[in-house]
Amino acid sequence: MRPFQLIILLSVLCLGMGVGCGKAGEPEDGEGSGELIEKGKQVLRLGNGSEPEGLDPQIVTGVPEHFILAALLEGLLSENPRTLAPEPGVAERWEVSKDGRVYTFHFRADAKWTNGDVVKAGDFAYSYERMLNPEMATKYGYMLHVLKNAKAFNEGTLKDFSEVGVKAVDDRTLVLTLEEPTPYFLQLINHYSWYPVHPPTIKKFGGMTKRDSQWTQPENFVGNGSFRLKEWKLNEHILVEKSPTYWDAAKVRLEKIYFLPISSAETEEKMFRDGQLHVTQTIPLTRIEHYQKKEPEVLRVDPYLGTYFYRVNVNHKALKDKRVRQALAMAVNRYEITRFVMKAGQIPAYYMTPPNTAGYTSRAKFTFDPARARQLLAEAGYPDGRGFPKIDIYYNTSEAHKHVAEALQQMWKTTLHIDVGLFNQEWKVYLDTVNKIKYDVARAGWIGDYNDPNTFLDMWLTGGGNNQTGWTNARYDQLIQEASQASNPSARFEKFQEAEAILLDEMPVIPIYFYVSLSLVKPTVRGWYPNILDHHPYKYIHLE
Amino acid sequence: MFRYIFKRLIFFIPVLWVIATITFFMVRMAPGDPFSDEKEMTEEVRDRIKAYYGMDQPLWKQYLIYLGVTAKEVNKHRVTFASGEDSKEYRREDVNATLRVTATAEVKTMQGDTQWLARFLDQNTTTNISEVEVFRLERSGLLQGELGPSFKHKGKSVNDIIRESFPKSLELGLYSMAIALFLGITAGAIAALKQNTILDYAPMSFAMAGICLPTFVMGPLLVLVFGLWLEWFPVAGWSAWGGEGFFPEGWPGDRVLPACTLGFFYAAMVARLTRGGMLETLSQDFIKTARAKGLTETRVVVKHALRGGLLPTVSFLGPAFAGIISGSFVIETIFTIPGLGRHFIEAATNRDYTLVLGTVLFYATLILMLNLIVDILQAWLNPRIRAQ
Repeated sequence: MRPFQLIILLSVLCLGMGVGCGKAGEPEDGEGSGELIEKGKQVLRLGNGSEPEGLDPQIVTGVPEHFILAALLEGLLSENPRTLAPEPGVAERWEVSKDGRVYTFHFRADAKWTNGDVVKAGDFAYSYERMLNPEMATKYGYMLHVLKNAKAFNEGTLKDFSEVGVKAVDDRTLVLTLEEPTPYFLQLINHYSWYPVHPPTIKKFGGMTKRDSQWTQPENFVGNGSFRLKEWKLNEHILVEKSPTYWDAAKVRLEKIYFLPISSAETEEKMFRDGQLHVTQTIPLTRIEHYQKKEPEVLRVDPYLGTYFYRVNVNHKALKDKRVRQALAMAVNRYEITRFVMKAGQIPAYYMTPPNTAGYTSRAKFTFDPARARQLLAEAGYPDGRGFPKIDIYYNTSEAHKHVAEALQQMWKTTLHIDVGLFNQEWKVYLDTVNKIKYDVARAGWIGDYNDPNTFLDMWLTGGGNNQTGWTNARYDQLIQEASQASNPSARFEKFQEAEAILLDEMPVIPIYFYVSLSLVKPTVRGWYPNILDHHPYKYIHLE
Repeated sequence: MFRYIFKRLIFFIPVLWVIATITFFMVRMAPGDPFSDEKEMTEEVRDRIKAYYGMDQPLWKQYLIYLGVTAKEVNKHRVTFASGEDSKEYRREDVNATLRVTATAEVKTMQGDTQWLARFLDQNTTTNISEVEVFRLERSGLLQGELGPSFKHKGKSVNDIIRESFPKSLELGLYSMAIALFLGITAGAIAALKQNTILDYAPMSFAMAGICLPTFVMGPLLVLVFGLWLEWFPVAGWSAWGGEGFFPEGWPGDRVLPACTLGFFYAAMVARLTRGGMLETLSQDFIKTARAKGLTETRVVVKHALRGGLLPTVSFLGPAFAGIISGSFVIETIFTIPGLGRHFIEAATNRDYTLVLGTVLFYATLILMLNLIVDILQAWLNPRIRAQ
C-alpha cells in the first residue's frame, strides 16, 4: 500500500470507526437528548447547572440535586408553587398540638411508590432513622435535629431510635415530637433531607448505612414523586417521566422532563437561544444587559433567599477591633456593586437576613458612610489608614467574585487608605482556608435551607460549623437559644431582632448584597412561578 | 517482531506502577478535602465519611489497598446487643447471606457462601449494651482491575465512569482525527511542493492561525457563525444516533462543530509537520535520482517523498491520538459533551482521588499503547528503523 492511500484510508477509517462506535453505544429507540423543544409535546428541558453528586436524598447537599429529587420524591407535605405554603403531600391532613411540639400526620390511602407499594408511615420512620444514623454520616443530618432526641441519636450518644421523636402509630399515622416548638417546621420538612426512601430497596442494595448504594440507578430507583427516573447518563442528562402510580397523577401535565447538566453559563445561554432548553439555571454576567433591553419577556429576575457577604477573621491583629470591621463595612458602596458589577437587580445588603424572610426584616442596619468609616478607623488607632497592616481578600476563582473583590479593594483603598491584596484560590483550597480561619477577609455566600430567619442567624453561634470567623458572643448565643424556645412568633422575632443587632454591631461578617434568582424561561412554559426558594413544583407546570 | 511487541507490553507494567504510585501520593498532598463543600459538616461526620472510604487507615496501607495487595474491610455494619441478649440472626439482602452474630463477636454464615469476620467494639457499663462490628475482607484494587468508587459521583465506580464516558470522547476524537489527517496532510504536502507560492502561504497562514487560535476561541466562533447565525448545526449537546430533528435525518449534527474545532487545531499542526518533513525529503538525493530517471511528479511525490515526509507527523500522531480520543476538557465543556475529558479536570478540582488516579492511569495506558503502534508504523515507513 502506498502512503497516500494510507492517509485516505486512515481518515476514512477514523470517520467510520467514529460512526460505528457512536452507533453501538447508543440506544436504538432514539430517546436521546436529540429531541429538541417540540411543539405540542409536554417534554420540558431544563438546564440544571452541574452534574448532580448523586440521587440519594440523604447523601447529597446541592441545589442541582434538589431540582431532580423534587420530581422523584415527595415528602409529608408539598408546597404551594407561589407562596410555598404547606399543601397536602403524602399526608392528606395534619394536626399540631397546642404547645406546638407534637405534629400528627395522616397519610392518604392512595400514596404509592413507583413499584406499587403503599407509602406507609413506617417508611418515613425508617428514612429518618437512616438520615440520623451516625454510621451513615449524613451532612444534612442536622436538619432533623429539631426532632426530640434526634441530635443525641445522630451523634451516637443515644443508641435506641425508639427514643427519638418519630413514631409510626399505624401505617397511616406518623407522629413527630419536637424538641422545641418550631414555627417553621412545616416549611422545614419540604427540604429534601426529609424526603422518604423506599426501605425494601435500601435493604436490597446494601442496607441502611451504605453510602454509595446502587439503589439510585434508574433500573433500581423506587420513588414516590410525580415523576419516575428513566435514564441517568453521566454529564449528559437525567430523564424522568410521569409516574402513573403518583396519587395526584391526574394533575400532572408534563410527560417528561430532561435535566441537562450544563456547567458553562455561556453554553447554557447559547442552547437556550438555539431552542434546546426551556429554562436555564442562570445567565452569564455579560448577557444580562442584552436580555434586559432586547428580550425582557424571557428574563426572570426574582428575589432569592440568599446573602452574599464577607467573613472577617476576628482574631486578626487589626481586625479584632470591631470598629475596624464596622469601618470596612461602612466604606463599601453597595449600590455601585449591585448596579455596575452584578448588574442583574441584586439588592444592596445592610443586614444579614434577606428582607421579609417569613415576615421578618431586621430593624437594625448600618449605612454606607465613608466619613464615619474613616472616623471609626481613626478611633481604632489608624488615622487615615496609617499603620494599618496589609490585609488580603480571599475568594474562590470566579469572574463575578473577582469583580466584587476588586471593587471592595478599590473602595477600601480610596476611602480608608489601607492596603488591600487579592488572593484567589481554587474551590477546595478556599474551603480549607475558610474552615481553618487562615484568611483576613473572605468572600462567602449563604442560601437559606428553609424560609425562616433562623437559617441565617443560628450559623453564628459559638463553635457553629459554618461560623468560621472565630467570633463568639455569649449574649448572641443566649438570644438564639431563647428564640428557639419562644412559643409566640412575635416574641421569637423580637429575639432575632436583638440578636441581629448584636451581629451587625460586632460585624464578624460584612453583608454585601442579597441574591436574586436569574433564569431565562421560554414564554411557552406555564406555571413557573417566582418564589423566594426558587422551588418550582413540576405538577403545576405545563407547556403551551 | 512479536517478541519485540511482547517485550514492550511487559515493560508497561513497571511504567504504570510508577505512574500510579507518583499520582497516588501527589494527589494526596494537594491541599483541600474531597468531601468539603460550602456547608460545613462536623468533625465526626467528616471522620466517618473518611472511614467509609478507608481514609482512616495510614497512607501506606491505603496505597497497598488501592493496588489490591492488601484486603480491605467491606460491608461493614454494627450489631447492637441489649443486656442479656447473646446472639442475633439477620439477613443481608445485598450479598444474599444470613448471619448469626454473638455478643462475644463470633460470626457464623447460616446461608450464603461469604466469609465474615467480627470484632468487639465496646460495652456500655451502665446500660450493658454492647456493640459488635461485622465485616468481610475483600481484595479489590488495581491488580483486580478495580479503580474504586468515585468520591464525587456517589454510587458510580471509576470503572463505570470511564466505561460510560470514553466511547463518547473516542467517537468525537475519531471524527476530529479524520479531519486533521485529511486536511493537514493534504495542505502540508501541497504547501511543500509549491514552496513559496500562494499555495504554500495561504494554507500555512491558516495553519498558523489554527495553532494560535486556542480551541476556546475557535469553538465559540464556529458556534456563533454556524450555530446561531446560519443555524446549520446545534450549538451544543450530545444526541443519540437515529434521533429526530437533525440534518440529515437521523445524523446527530451536534458532532460537527466540536469535531471541526478539535480537528482544525490538530490539522494545523499536522500540516506544518508534514510540510517540514516533505521539504526535507524532497531535497534529498534519492528524490533527485527519481526525477532524473524521468518519473512523473505524482509518482515521485506519492511513492517516494510522502513516505519519508510523513515520518515527523507519524511520531507526533501517537501522543496526539491519545490526547484527542481521551477527550478535551475545553471542547467538552463548551459543547457539553459527556466525555472523559471533563473528568480529568473536574476530578482534580473536586479532589476525587480515585477518579484522578483512574483517569491518569487510563490515559497513560492509552499513550503507551499508541506509542507502540506508532513505533510499528514507523518501522514500516522507514527501513532504517526497521533494521534496528
